[in-house]
Amino acid sequence: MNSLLSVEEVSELIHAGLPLCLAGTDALLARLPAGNWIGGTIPYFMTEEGGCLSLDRVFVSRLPGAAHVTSAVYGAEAIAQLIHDAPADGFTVVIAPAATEALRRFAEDGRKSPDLFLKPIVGWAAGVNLDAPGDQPAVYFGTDRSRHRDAIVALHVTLPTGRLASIEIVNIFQAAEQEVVEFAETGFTARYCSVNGVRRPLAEYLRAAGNADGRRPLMGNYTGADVNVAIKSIDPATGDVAFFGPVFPGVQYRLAKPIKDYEIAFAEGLSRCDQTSVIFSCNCVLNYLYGNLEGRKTGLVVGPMTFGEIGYQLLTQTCVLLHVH
Amino acid sequence: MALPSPHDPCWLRLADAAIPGFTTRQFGLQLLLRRMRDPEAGTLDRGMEVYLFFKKYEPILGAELEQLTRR
Repeated sequence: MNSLLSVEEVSELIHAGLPLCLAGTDALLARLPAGNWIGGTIPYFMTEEGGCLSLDRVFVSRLPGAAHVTSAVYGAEAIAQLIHDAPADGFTVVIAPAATEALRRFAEDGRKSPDLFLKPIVGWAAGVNLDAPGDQPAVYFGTDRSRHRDAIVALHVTLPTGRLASIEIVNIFQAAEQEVVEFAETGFTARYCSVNGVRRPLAEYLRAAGNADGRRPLMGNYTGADVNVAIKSIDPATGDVAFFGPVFPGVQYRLAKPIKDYEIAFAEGLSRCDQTSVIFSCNCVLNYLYGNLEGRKTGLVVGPMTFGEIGYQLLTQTCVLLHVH
Repeated sequence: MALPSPHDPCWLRLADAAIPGFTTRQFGLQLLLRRMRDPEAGTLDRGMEVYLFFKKYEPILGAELEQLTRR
C-alpha cells in the first residue's frame, strides 16, 4: 500500500531492494540510503486519512509486480533517449523539478516521439513548501543518492508477460460552453490569444470571464479528453499570463467552470474509475490549495500533491492514475 | 472480437476522425487521435500508428473495437 512512512521505515524498504518512487522534503530524501529508488521534493500529500503537509515523513509509492527495473537520470537534452529507454511492455515513472529546462523540454518535445503512446510514462514535477521561500525543487537518483536541480529521474519498469499498464486521468473540472480560446504559438506564457476567432489580450479575457485570480484552468480538448493548463500568474503590468504547462496552437481551449466543493468533485470523478487496479497516482497541489483539501479525502487514491503531473505529457491541475491490468 | 488487419482502412479512417460518433475513455487513445491531426507530429504512417496502439491495448479496448468493426 502506498503511504507516508518514517525515514527509518523507508530505509528498510530500500535495503530490501524494492523499486520505489519517493516524495518528501529535501532534508528527508538526503538521509535515505542508496538503492533502487527515485525521489522528488514535495511536502504535500493525499493519504487515506486525508490531505496533509508532512515535514517528517516520506511518501512511498511501491511499484509491485515488476519483472525487471532499471533507473537513469536524463538531462534536458536527453528527452528522446528517455522515451527510447522506456519499456513498451511495462511503464516508466519520472520526476522532474518544476519550472526547469528539463521539464520544459519534456513538455514541448516529448509529445512528438512517435511511440510515446505505446510506452506509458507517468510522474510528477517536484516542488517546494510554499511557506518556505527560498527552497528549490530537486530530484534524487537513489542509485548513487545524487541530487539534481535540472534533470529527470526515471524508473523503467518491465512487467511480466500478460500484464498491461495504462494511464487514466481524473479531471474534476468541466469546460464552460461559451468562448473558444486558441493560441498562435507553443509556450508557457502568452500575452494574446484568439477568443472565438478575435484576437484579444489574454489577461483582459480572463478578467472579464471572472478568472482574474487564475484559479480556473484553461481546458484543451484532445479528442474527448480535457487537458488542463493551470494558470501560474497574471502580470497586471505587462499582461503576460504564465502557465504551469504549455499551451499549443491548434488546440481549442475553454475556461473551466467554478467548482463548489473539490472533495465532492473528486468523489464523483473517481467513482467513474476502476480504483482497484491503480498502483500509482499523483494529484495537483493547486487542487489541494484551492480545494482546501487538508484533512479531507479524495477516495482511495493517495499520493503526492505535486507542481505538475505527467501522463504521457505534462498535465496540470489534474489527478493521474497508473493502472496495471 | 478480432483485431482488423494492419492494412484495414478502418485505422486510417479513425486517424482521420472519419468514423462518426467514435468515442473512447482511454486517455492514451484520446491523445493519440488528437496528435493525428497535428501537422507538427511528423507521423509517417498514421493508420499503422493507430493499429499498433490497438494491438497493444486490445484487452482493454473492447468498446472501441466494437465501434470500429460494426461499421
